[in-house]
Amino acid sequence: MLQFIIRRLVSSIPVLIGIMVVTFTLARAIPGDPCRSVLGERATDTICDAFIERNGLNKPLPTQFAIYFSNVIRGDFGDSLRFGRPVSDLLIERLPTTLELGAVALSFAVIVGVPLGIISAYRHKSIFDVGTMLGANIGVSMPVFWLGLMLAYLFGVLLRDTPLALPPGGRLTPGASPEPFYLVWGLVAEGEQAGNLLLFLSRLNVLNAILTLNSELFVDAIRHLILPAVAVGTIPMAIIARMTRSSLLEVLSQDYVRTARAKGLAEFAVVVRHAMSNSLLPVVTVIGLNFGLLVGGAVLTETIFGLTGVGRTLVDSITSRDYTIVQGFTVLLAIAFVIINMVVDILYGYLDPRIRIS
Amino acid sequence: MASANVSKLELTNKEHETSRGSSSLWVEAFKNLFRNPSAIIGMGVIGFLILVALTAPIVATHDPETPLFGAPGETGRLPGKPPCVPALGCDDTLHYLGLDLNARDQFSRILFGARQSLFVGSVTIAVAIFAGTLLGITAGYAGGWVDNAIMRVMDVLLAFPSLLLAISIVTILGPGLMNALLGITITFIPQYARLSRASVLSLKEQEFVTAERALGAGPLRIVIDHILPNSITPIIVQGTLGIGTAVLDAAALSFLGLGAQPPQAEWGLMLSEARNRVFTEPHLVFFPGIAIMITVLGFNLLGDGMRDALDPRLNRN
Repeated sequence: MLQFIIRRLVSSIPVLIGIMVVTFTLARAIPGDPCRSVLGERATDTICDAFIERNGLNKPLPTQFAIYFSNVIRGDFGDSLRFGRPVSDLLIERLPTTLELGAVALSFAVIVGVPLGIISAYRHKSIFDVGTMLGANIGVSMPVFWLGLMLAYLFGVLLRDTPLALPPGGRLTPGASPEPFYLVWGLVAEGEQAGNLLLFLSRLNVLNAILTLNSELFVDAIRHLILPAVAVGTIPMAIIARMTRSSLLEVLSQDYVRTARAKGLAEFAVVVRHAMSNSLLPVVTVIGLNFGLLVGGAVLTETIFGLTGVGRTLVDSITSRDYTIVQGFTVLLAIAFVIINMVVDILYGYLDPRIRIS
Repeated sequence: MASANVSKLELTNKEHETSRGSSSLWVEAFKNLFRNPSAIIGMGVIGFLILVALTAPIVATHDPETPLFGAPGETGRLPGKPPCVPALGCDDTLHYLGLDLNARDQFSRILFGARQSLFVGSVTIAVAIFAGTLLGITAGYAGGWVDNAIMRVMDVLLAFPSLLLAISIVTILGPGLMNALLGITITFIPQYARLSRASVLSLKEQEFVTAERALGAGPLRIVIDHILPNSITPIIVQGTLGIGTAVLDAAALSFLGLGAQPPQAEWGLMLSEARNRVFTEPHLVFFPGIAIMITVLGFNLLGDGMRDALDPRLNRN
């Protein structure tokens, strides 16, 4: 197993280096002068020269890459050209929004998708099965941003005066300023990194609400998360339901399931203990692969629901040519994608010994 | 001598049978396709959309890009009055789906939008299949460092969330439908490269390919005559499903302002233009979204049906 993990780790290194090269090249290839697009009217030649000098943009490209590479390795993503603040600070500020959205969306996808798939497979060709698969087909065909807008209209306008009403935007009700848990607990961080970690955690509203036992904040945060999370999670949910169904169907027709039935096991034990543990293997992979969809969904959904997360910041930065943010965020997302796939592979290897050996 | 002749005869007979068998495999596949309900619905939807795209200039009631200021129905935009949309029960005007924010006829815009979506979806996938298959076959057939170089680049491209990569590429090329098309194409290439490389690797060592090589056939001949026909099925299935995704990606790029540009009649752009009015004029968001959904659904259903009909592993069951 250890050998398998090491092999998998080593094989991701070239991909990670490739990601840095591609991001660096893409960010440099964006047309337009970063100085003028950042400073706008204030950009005179003298100011721009100083700006270029300060940000090292006049050095040869290979040198710029070498500096960038060594900085990224040390976790330093440079200062945002537009905000004049370290990219890592912006990340601490904005990643929690996206992380919370992604986590709730993925939970929704798994909690709804897996049972739907199981029931469809078990009741193969029933009305429930046909209906679920039709629904799943429609689910994967909907544009995320359209679903988001329609949900906002339905729950924010049409159902406004009913108990089902949900807020169509933002992370919390305007004016709400939750107290960070570390203040409530009287925690004082030692060192900058510990402080950043506390800040980061406190920005996860749901977690902060649980840690401070603030039920009002908890309900408010969850209510704001439902619509964007459903919008982001619908496509992964449909994919997971389909995958669960087809893989369970395949397993249910195998000899060992027939044997289990023949020896008189209860139906529940056959399906849950024998069939499901094997059929959920491919589902693990699908959940990992959905990370890309979640990121794409987050970019669009954050734009619609007015959430200042990583996705929206990234798109804004691309249009305003903020190289450092584009590089930093893209590299981080791509690295996260590689790591998640690696974890999924390792998990898969752990669950299925056949993969480990080959 | 006689026995040698007999076995030769048997061989030709067998050859004959196999060649007849392979053609009937395709006939069988098509029969299966027309027996598959989701494939039939998918083909119906796509056929309808192609018809809409072709007849748009005849069926459309107005020019999709000309504002009709002062037209009846524009009054719906006055404060306090709901918008007048005949499809939603108002019989005031000639504009079936109402007017958009620039007083353009939404029904006509949606009809013309079918052209953009079908065009983007099919061209993107066609180019991606061509480039991806070329790369994949080269990698698989050449092996060694060529294989390594090509596939590592593909790995890196696959490491990016696809929409993110498309956004980055379009930002470099500049906004516009053609550049969006190119950006999406690049994100699709790796999957076809992987698919065709895998087929080449499994076919390369098979006896019929070895036999052909022993008879003196060059690599190009082997690829065109033997490897392509045997690896095309999964690519066709993947491609059909890919068109749906490409349509969604193109709409997303247009929604973010990176794809089609005003005053083009493109569904993603229509959604983007109307998105701030969703609370007051939801029909401007509703209909273009439904159009996108139906298109994507059509290709997904056809793709699913094709997978069931063309996969020989499933046929035998």
